[in-house]
Amino acid sequence: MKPTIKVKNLSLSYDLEENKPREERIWIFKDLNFQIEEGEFILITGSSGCGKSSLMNMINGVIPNLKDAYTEGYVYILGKEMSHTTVRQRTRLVGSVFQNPREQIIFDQVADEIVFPMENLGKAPQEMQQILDELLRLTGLEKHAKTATLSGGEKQKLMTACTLGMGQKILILDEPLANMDARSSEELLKLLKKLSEEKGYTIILVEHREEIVLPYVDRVFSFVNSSAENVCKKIDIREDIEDYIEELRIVSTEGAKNTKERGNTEILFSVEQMDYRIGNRLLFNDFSWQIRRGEEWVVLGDNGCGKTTLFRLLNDFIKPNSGKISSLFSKKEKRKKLGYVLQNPDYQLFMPNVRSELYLRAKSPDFAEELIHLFRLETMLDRHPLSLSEGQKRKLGFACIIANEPEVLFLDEPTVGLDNASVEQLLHALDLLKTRSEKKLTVISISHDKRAIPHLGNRFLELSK
Amino acid sequence: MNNPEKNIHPILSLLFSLILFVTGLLFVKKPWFWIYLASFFLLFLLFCFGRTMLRLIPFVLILGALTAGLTAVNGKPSDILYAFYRVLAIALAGVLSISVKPIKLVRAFNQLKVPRWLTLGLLIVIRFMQIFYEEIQQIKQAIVVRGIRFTETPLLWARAFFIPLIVRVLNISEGLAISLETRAFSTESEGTSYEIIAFEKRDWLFTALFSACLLPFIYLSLGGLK
Repeated sequence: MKPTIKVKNLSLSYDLEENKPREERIWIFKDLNFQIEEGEFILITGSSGCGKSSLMNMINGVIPNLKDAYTEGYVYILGKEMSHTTVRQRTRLVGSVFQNPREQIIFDQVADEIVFPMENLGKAPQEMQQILDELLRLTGLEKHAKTATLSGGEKQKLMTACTLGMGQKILILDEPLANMDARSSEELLKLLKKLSEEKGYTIILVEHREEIVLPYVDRVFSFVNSSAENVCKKIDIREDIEDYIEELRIVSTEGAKNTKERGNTEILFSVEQMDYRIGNRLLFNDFSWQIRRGEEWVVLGDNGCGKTTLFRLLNDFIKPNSGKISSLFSKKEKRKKLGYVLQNPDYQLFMPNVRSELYLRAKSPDFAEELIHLFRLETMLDRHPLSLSEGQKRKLGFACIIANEPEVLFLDEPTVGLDNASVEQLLHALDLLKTRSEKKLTVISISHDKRAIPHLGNRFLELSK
Repeated sequence: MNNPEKNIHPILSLLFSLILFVTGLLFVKKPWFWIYLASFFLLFLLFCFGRTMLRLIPFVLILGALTAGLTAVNGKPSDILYAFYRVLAIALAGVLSISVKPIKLVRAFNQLKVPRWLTLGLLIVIRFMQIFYEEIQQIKQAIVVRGIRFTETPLLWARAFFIPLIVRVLNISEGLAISLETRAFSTESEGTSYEIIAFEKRDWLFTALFSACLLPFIYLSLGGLK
């Protein structure tokens, strides 16, 4: 096997001062060395904010070509040193799937989005049609579906399909499974495995949900932080995947059982014979559901089945086409007693620093303080919330909402992109809120994350397309 | 579901839209303006633009009432009527252009060898307006979720609205730039087209009927039948 990617003494810093001494610079990672062979399927893991995505961006050239950073060292692709190549040149060799698919979609129809990179590469219309049909079959997306009406998971599938259509033999995927349902994740992983085994594709996948990826990969690269310098100086490479799976003691969903018996607590929300459609898609047909105080629900279902839409309906952001949604809370009460953690924390953070963001709606300073310690935000209190890493922003967004001590908490994919330690922190914070609640806390969550589902609720609502 | 069969060639749509815009505003004060409007209305109905015209009714009513109302402040009754006619003329011109699918327009321009940076730039501008609208909706919902009300704390509301909006717009711009680069978009190479946007019989027929509708009014406006 020949090496496809080789990294030599690679270092990255977002400290842009050119002439700063090496030892004074704040590094994200330093002097990394590794090599990936043709046909290998690699999983990259590490804590939130440790630099996994940045490493991917250095391989595909986004750093430093499109994002400013101070870098040292070399990246070799197919034996060629890449320092002086543009992103476009590297794109001919490396295909990339990024986080936040919503920000990358250009066209308003699925088929146009998928064929766009193929048009740029000059593929013939017949070939494009063939690849498009195959990718649509694989992803289950509709050719003429409007991209604006796709769910988060469907958008992720769309961007993955775009990259697969380009046909590069080295693929970098940065958390492509983050919002995907179990079935779609498995299908994508099987396809990637097939590409690596049968066609010699080199696959590099960044993912926190190790439990679903591990059975497919050849090696695991873990970022290891040096305790002395708090910077990643080494990548721990594991080849004994089966032993690694054992060590992780993966959380299973067996403990999570649907508790049939219901108490006599008051009904907080009642959905009666509701219909709701987006364009031509009928998402809810004669749908009825009741949520009582103190219940803990997890809403499950494939991508695009209407989970987030259901949250928006319950929160009065949209109205059903027919049927009725009634609530114990008036519209005014809803604003005070309901908490809603959105999928994307960027929308909920706007104060000048982390401290003011957290205390803005905090009911009790003690609880806010407790959350600061739990999420290890002490060193970041004076930073702008939007300067934090994705994982840190997600934790802060969650902390801000629960600091208000709501009676009902809606959580939309709260653990996406979080490492295991952060998921534990988040679940612990939820427990703290439960113990503080004067009236029994009601939690309604959407999650595809097997690490979190058993702890988020004991009642399950499975939506189907 | 879109029905591409019912659209006219995108470049023809833009061209005819422009012609209707100019002629409509020129003919507003002519006594036969209503016949002009009615003839194109029938032509559009014949070519299945009924739904597009329905979509424009709120625009006509709101903008028409607004301009007519403003004119009424110190204008004559005929000026009020002309103000409303102008909105009707603009709406009529808009029927064809809003029925154009941006991607089809881009592909048609590409086939005419118009530079790709220009055509894709156009597409991104169109797309960005839609994204901008969606972002505003999301941010407004997030503000509600944080329990902030404009009537109680207007400054905080403004902060909660504009900071995420600016950040999101910057993130989306960066995301789109990266997305283009990593999907092999290049202004130097021409690329290929998934779909050939050709002139079809329907386009020729529309062109013939469009000309047949328009030419008599141009003749009349130039002083014919005196």
